[in-house]
Amino acid sequence: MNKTKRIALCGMLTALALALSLVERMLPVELLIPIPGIKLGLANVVTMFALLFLTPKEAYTILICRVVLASLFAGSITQLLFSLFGGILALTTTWLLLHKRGTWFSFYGISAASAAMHNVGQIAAAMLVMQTTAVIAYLPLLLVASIPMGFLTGAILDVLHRHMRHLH
Amino acid sequence: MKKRLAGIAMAAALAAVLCGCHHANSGKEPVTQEFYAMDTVMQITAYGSNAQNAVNESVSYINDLEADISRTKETSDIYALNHAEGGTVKLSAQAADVLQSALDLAQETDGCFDPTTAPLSDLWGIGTDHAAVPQQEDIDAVLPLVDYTSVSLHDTEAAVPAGAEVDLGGIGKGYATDHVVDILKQYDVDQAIVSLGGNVYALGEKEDGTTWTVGITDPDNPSDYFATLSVSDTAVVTSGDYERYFESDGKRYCHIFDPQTGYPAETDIRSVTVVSQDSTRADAYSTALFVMGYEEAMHFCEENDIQAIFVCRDHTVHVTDGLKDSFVLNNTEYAYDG
Amino acid sequence: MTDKTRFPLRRGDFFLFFIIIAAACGIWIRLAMLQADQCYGEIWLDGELYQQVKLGDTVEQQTIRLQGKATEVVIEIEGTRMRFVESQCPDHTCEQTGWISRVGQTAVCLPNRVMIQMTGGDTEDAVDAVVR
Repeated sequence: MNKTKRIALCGMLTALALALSLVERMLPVELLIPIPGIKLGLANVVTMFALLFLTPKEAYTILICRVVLASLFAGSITQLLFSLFGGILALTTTWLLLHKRGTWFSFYGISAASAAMHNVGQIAAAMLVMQTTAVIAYLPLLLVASIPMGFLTGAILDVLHRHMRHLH
Repeated sequence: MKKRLAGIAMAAALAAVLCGCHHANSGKEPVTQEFYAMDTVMQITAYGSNAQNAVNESVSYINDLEADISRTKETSDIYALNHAEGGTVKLSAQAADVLQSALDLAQETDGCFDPTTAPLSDLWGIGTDHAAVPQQEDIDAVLPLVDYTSVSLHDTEAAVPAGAEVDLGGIGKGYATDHVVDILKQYDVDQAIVSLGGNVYALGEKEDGTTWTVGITDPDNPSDYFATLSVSDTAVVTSGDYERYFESDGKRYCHIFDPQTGYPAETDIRSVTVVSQDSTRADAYSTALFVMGYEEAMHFCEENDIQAIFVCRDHTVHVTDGLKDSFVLNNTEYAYDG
Repeated sequence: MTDKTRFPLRRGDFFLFFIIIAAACGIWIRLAMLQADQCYGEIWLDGELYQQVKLGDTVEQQTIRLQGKATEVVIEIEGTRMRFVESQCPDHTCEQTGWISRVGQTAVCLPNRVMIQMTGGDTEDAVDAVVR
């Protein structure tokens, strides 16, 4: 891939991630698991995809662009902080675990761990911003929920990976 | 693909189970109702699927009872009796039953519990902001009105001499407690703790199968308790000098009157706690024992098989034999001989 | 095609799931324990819970004013205890009752129909009711 193509791909992926994160807000997941702010984490599929097919640097760039833009479209500065904290922690986890993909871990485990760390990061940010430890009460359920959520994003990644491998 | 689906299903099931546990743990919550009746605060905590209905019926029962036997509500039967100027008044079956119990218990305690001391408490003004020690001649004038034997009751036809007054407040809460417990049992409530203005009834046992723990008020510090009692299916009632009182010239005058002297009971006792299956009796006995003074009261308990705890002025605590196993003193200010 | 039929999960995945669940359980149990130890001061107005305040050694002194049935009532909270400070009611019984600091203790201002009580905490030391 040449440089122009890469930049174009990054832009498209950012747009896709942004669209996914906005669409996600309309899904009533909260009805299923009654925790404020619970999400499927579809937008994270895009950053993980970028990690697989592009470089970590580009993946982080896409993540930051997506988070900033999403909070510009809808959301507040505190939400931006939560997402950024969670997103970076999740992406770093994914990046580290991907080194051992195939031998030790599959996409499912990696996605679940990533989702779990995303929640940990968000809660940590919330504790810092709101100066309260009360929000930690949400963490156990969020952690448990990250396993099915990880299966969902993991399945998407698995399919994507199988079909896109030859493009690499 | 099938295995993958199975994997996803397993994870989802695991998550569901964990979430389920989280909610199931919040468990069987009791129904607690706090309300005000009979000039006091009442609390009923009941367990069981029918607890809410049982508690609702208990509250309306108490309100009905109060409407019947209140001394201050102008529409009550007892108000009519007190203001009939000696005439005969037909009481409701319930009011007559409470009055009959009061008269029986007055006789049993030889007048130490007396439901006709109301003119005295009015004279002394206890519980109001103008409480004061009256003139001896005023006390002497009122004293002849205080005599439970002057109350006549035949079936539901009752009469009191002009000027005399019946006040069923002394056993009203105890009587209400007994009936509330009956209502709770009718609704298959087998665990409950009832406190009608400090008259406690512990129904059944706690959820973990242990007995209920009831604290006994510290007369020196009425917001705290100085000892505990483990009970089940029992009423616990206390009379003490700390409940309603006023102080004059450094002397404390409490709300319990000695029907003999016309003065607030002034004995060597600070508080008496009576433990009995029957809350009405416990209510009357605790008042009577307080008036008797320690020696006579202990003798009365032994003769009539009453279980009681006495706190005396010298900070000694005395417990009848039947309660020694369930009584625990936890304040070193008091000396316990048991 | 062998790739498709192969079981998709790796050994490490289960390790990750285990860590996540263990962390969730650990936090949950710790929170439950903390919650069980937490004492609350409750203020009830005419049979309804008016306010619930967390009590603990680090709780700073505060006063709560509320309009009772008859007059204004002032309640003071400090550390692990609370009391009625002031009430304009005729009998002033509530002010005489003093501090309450143990679970199961209550104090009432009858004319105002305000009750304060302590709940929660370590149930070992608590009573189910106080007879008075």
